[in-house]
Amino acid sequence: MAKVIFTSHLKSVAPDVAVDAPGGSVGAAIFAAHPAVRGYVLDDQGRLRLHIAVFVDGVHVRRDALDHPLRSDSELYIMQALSGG
Amino acid sequence: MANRLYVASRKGLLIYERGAKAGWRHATTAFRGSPVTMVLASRDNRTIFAGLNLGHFGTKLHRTTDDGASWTELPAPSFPKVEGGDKDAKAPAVSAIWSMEWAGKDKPGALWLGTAPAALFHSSDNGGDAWTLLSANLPPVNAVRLV
Repeated sequence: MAKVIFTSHLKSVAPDVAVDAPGGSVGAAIFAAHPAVRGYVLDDQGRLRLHIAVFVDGVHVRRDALDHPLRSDSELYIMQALSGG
Repeated sequence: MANRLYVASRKGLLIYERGAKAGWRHATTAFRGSPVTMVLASRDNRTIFAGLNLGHFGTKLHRTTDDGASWTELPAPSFPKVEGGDKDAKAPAVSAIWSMEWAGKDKPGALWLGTAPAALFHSSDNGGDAWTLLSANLPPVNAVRLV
């Protein structure tokens, strides 16, 4: 099973410990892991929200992140991007 | 004379109460640390709506029916999905709740809600449990006083 880890800023709607989810794609894994998080991660049109960052096996997935494939042993982090200077 | 003051701030919903002698005093803060863009209370202060803009995590709408003792997240108003919208950066999405108003004494539980980008939503008789988009593509203003 893939592991999904949500940022602690989502602890009101998502588990704050790693949870198992089926492989397949990032999108499928996120919502299998915890469906209540959908409106926090996706916008009205089902797009990944602008400042949500997705990391798969240590790599920042910048394009078409929801469709990105996951292996059965992948580790998926859902984070919030920070900007500024 | 009103004895309750609600202040929607970038750091939460601040609630003040008028004391017998000492003027206004801070009673409590809800949604501490979260930007609150709109607040609407019933005349008896039992029912209160709070519109939040959580930045990374989008627009949220919460309601209490017990004077703030407990809050429930409601479905936030949203634009209907358009074909291909999940791949189209220009397809509309609500970015903030800017205005709310009761529909009138003869329509208990009915509400109006204005958003950015400019659109008007209506909740007919369910106290905000569901929202219907009435009009989009209003003039591009971010604040609307609903009367």
